[in-house]
Amino acid sequence: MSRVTTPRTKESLFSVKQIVAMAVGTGLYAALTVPFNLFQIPGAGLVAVRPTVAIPMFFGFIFGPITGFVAGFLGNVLADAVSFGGFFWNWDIANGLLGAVPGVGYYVVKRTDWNKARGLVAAAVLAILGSIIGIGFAAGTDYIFQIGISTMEAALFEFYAAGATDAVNGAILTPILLYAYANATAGRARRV
Amino acid sequence: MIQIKYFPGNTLLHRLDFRTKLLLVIFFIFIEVAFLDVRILLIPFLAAVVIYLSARVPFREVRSTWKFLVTIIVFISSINALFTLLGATVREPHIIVQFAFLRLTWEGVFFAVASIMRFLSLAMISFSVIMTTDPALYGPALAKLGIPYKGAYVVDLALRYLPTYVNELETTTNAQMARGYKAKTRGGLFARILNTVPLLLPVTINATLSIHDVADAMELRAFGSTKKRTWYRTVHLSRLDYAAIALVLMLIVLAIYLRTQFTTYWIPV
Repeated sequence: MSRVTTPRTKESLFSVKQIVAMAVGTGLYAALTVPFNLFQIPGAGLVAVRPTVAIPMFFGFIFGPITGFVAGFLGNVLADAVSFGGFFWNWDIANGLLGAVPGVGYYVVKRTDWNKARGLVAAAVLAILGSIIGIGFAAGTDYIFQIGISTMEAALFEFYAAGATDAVNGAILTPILLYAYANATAGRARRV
Repeated sequence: MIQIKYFPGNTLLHRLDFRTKLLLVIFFIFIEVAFLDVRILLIPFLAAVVIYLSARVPFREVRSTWKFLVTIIVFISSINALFTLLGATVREPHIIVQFAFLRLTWEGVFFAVASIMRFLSLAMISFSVIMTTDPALYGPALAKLGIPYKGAYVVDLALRYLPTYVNELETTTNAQMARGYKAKTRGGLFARILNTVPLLLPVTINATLSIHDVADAMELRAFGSTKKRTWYRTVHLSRLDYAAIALVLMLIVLAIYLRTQFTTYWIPV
């Protein structure tokens, strides 16, 4: 007698759910970031202390790297447009990378582990890694294209200041969001 | 509260297609990135003032937004004039006043003036576009630009959600304050990060849980079942748009020429 199993389908990264997740992530990141753009790091251009970086990281972790990237990239475009009326392409890509890197967790961490130590540690580590790669890209391109900063020292300062604050914010808040979401969706097969 | 929304009207800007206005924004971004000389930056700044005023946005509706924006731009640019040592690339910076490690130089002052003019110009142009474009036209306009409809829909939906989440954050903040929540502006980094949890957590989790309901509703209406999609409203380029596009393209050529003549900061000392 053959065993009855539920077929496993791989969800498209551009499914309707992912499309809505990209839009919600973008709107959420932009709306919640604007108030935090007030908290600036002196001497680091228009770099702000943003606890909200955890939003694209969290979206990347649970919906995949493309959704994380779009939430970070488009969310930052909208947040900067609303806060400063400006557009900073390299910081937009950097914010996209902040969301895309934790997207690795979408593939390597089982959904049942999201509220366990393994999943939470993975979220924190990937948030730190995303901050290093994302802010490294932004500070590097700021220096190469002389956007607001003119010396290597200023670029390194920007990298340490923004990278460290984003890493700490992401490492603390992403696992908290993940834990809350995992518990809120526990037992609901459709809502993961 | 920050107020950036569409104000219906019939000005020249209102009549321009979103794609034309997008080209205008791209042109201003190019100008602001390409030039460092305040004499050149003054031209797009004045042009931005004229364009913004021509949009006839009621000032009392956006007063708080401008107050917030001007304060943040002037404050941050001034702070950066002190800390971002443009003088580090100048062998002998012209010092105005020095106190301990802080020094105010003419180079720093002109760096700040250039930054303020850049950000204010971009703000005026971005606001002019956002405040004169019906949000329902973003999606069709982006689709006409060749962006796949799913991508256009993400932008469309995100712009609709933005004010919803701003209100949600305000409601959550008020509810938490009624329960004794206080925003921490002092204390250690960890304490301040954890202090944001009562605000970030409910708004984020509620929004994330709603994704599944919205996606279900869209799937029930067969969203995504076909490769192409039509839009309820369509957009067309008018003669006015073609004239504006031609003008902007000519200005881009002029700007490229000027870029070869004015390559650095201008310090009149």
